[in-house]
Amino acid sequence: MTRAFGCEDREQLVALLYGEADREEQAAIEAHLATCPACASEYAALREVRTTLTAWEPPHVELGFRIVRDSQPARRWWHVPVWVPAALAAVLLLAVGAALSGVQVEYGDGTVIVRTAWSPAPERAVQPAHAAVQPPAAVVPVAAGMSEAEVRAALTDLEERLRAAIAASRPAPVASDRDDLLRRVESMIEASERRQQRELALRLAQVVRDMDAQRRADLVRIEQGMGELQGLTGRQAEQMINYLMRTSAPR
Amino acid sequence: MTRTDEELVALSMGGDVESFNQLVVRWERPIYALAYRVIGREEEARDVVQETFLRAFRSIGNFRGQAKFSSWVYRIALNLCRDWMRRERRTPLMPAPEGVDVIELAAEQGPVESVEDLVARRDMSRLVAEAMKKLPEEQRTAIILKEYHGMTFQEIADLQGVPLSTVKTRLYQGLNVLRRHLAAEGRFDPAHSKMS
Repeated sequence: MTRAFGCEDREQLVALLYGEADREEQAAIEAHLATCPACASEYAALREVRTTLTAWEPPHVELGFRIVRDSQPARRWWHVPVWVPAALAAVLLLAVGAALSGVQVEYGDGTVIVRTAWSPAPERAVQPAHAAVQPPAAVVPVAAGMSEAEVRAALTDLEERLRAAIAASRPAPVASDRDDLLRRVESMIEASERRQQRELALRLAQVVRDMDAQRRADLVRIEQGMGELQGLTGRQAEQMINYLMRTSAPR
Repeated sequence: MTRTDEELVALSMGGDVESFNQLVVRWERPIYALAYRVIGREEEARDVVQETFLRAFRSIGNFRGQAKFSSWVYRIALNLCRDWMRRERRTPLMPAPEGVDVIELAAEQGPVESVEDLVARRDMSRLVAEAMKKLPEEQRTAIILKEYHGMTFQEIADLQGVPLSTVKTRLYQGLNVLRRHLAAEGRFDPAHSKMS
């Protein structure tokens, strides 16, 4: 049975408008539009609105989004082995020592050679081309593929040997050096004391000069005040004295 | 060979990023058009597209396939548009009317359309955008999904989470608001605009 369509069913016009009415519904709506000018006019208006809506175009923009997956996880600083900072610190210390003491570092053939120059090598001076005469050298075998433990052990060994070499190269103080040092310190202390006494005397003299100048200025003002007081009449002098007594009385 | 959305989704779920990127290429422009028409801002619409596909990629493992992939990403995009409008607490803004550069227009279009026609079309586009701005969000979204994305009443009902009859009501009422607004601008036959 064909369902009737009335003016109160206008919302159903969109089904016909968008082609989603089934055959029965379509027939009912079209039958009503044929006999109802108001609904027919509204339907025509809605179709015109749809035509107008086609004019609304979004702007053309370049999009081109892509999802990109990282090929490998980023290294994070906390993945650095804990011994690395200590090893770096040791190397830094050694570098400073090398800069101060003339340590030579050579590397090649899978080894690192640290050669100290603290020990005198008179033989080299007379025989510079003789390869067999060299200062003591610390050799650290480092090769590709070594484990962390092996590298750490090698660095520790190097550090110990270099510490020993530094300690051995430091000249021991002798008795005559100590006496000379003591005398120099004593003379420096005496010179410092003399300098301090001289400065103290200068400052005291300056203070005395300032106090004397202030005293002289005060005396001049007192003499001027006394002269003014002498110029007053008896009544004025009495009033001035009373005023001075009032103002100087303890409160 | 062109793969279907379902095939590309299956490959994406297996970790194939390039398959997902093919889905992006296929759907980014419709999603952009949707976002632009709903919120009316180019840059924000572009952000919505990017965020839509990022979310889709991150949760592709949860996609069960009850709905089409396009419906799924439309839903994500519409939710993002709604979030944006709530966050901004305003109705969509259409680009402000600007002076029309006829040379630019002529350059971007083919020779078949006259400059006068191009100007008129651009003018009409702006007028429609402003009329759409007058609509409540749910009516505007329903019309956009129907007019520009060809969805069925049922698909819109599913996306908006309302009964099918509500979709028809929203479309009918929205179209009538547009009709009145366009008639007020002198774009329609006055006889049509008098109807209610």
